[in-house]
Amino acid sequence: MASAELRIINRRIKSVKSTKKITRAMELIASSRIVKAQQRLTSSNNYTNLLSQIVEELTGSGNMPTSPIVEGTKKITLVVITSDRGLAGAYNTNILKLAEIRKAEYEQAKNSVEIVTVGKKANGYFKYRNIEPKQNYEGITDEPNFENALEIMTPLVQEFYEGKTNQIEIVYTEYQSAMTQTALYKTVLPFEVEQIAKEIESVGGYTFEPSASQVLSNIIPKYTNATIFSALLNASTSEHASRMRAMKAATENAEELIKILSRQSNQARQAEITTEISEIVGGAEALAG
Amino acid sequence: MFVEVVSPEESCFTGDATMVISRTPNGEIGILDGHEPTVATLVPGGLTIEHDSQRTSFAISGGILQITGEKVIVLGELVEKIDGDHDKAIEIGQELAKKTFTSDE
Repeated sequence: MASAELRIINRRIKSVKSTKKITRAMELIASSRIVKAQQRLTSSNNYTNLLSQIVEELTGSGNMPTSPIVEGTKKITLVVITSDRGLAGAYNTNILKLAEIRKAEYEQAKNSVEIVTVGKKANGYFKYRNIEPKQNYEGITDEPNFENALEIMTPLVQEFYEGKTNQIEIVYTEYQSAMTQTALYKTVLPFEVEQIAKEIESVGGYTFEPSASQVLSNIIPKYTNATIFSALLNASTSEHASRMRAMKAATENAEELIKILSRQSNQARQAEITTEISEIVGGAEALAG
Repeated sequence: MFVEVVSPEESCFTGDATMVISRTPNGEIGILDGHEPTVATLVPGGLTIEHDSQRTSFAISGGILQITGEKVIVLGELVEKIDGDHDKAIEIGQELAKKTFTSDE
């Protein structure tokens, strides 16, 4: 009996040890990727900042004004950015919860909502709930590049200009620090172009090639592309950070479990030895008697 | 004058330059020191920077060019450094532009 218990415990220790190896490896991978992702985020922020600086100098405010939601039927596209793989703690749950809330809010205001998913997790989530995503992109979130951003944005912007969708909103996770990442939503389109164009012309100070409104309509797609690219990078950095944290916790738990299990195993081994000794002693006494 | 070329993925060029050549919808422009403050749209094509008596060319899928008193900032979406002259850069830049969406308005 005792030896069977010992075998079971040892088997469990072995399996926990190999799990620990996996979680440790994933932690290391995530922490090496996070450095790279952070660098990419910084250089994209450089671009975005320069772009908003230009917009700021032109309009007097850094943010393009976005129009508020109006009551009535509007077609809204939600772009939900999650990861392709799990084991990243609450990362995907948080983002999907927020997406679900936004969707409910819009639908309550009698808008129709369409979903575009980035990442396998979001796609699976919505499909399971019988909501077929309009578009799904996979294999991007590990290391998003600018062409991925264009790939996502181009059809949406086209639909926007064709009037098939009235508002584009992204739901993503913003990377604030290695410890803090927040799920956020942000409106990408529409901008109130005419208002800005008027403001720009009245401010003056710059010559425009070819004209203020043309420069502006050129800046807008750049701005939307930069917005989605920065969202992708934020999401990817957050994903790595969440995974690193989750895997670190998992590794620590595995260590704790191994400690407890090896104590149990020692106890079982000792019990086995004690039983054997008392059997031998008992046998010897019986013979001597 | 100080020139900065930035794409979303990286900073492609920073440094002093004597001349910047690029193309707006109105035609090719060359920018020398002391150009009046301008914001311009760049059409797909080449961007050539003359610095330290040599020329560096980039293919650019379109972008924004801002000239302030002493600084020229070029924001390009897809920017690639080219081994070759301005004409080759234009060719590759137009190729790059097919990947991006530009509104016709």
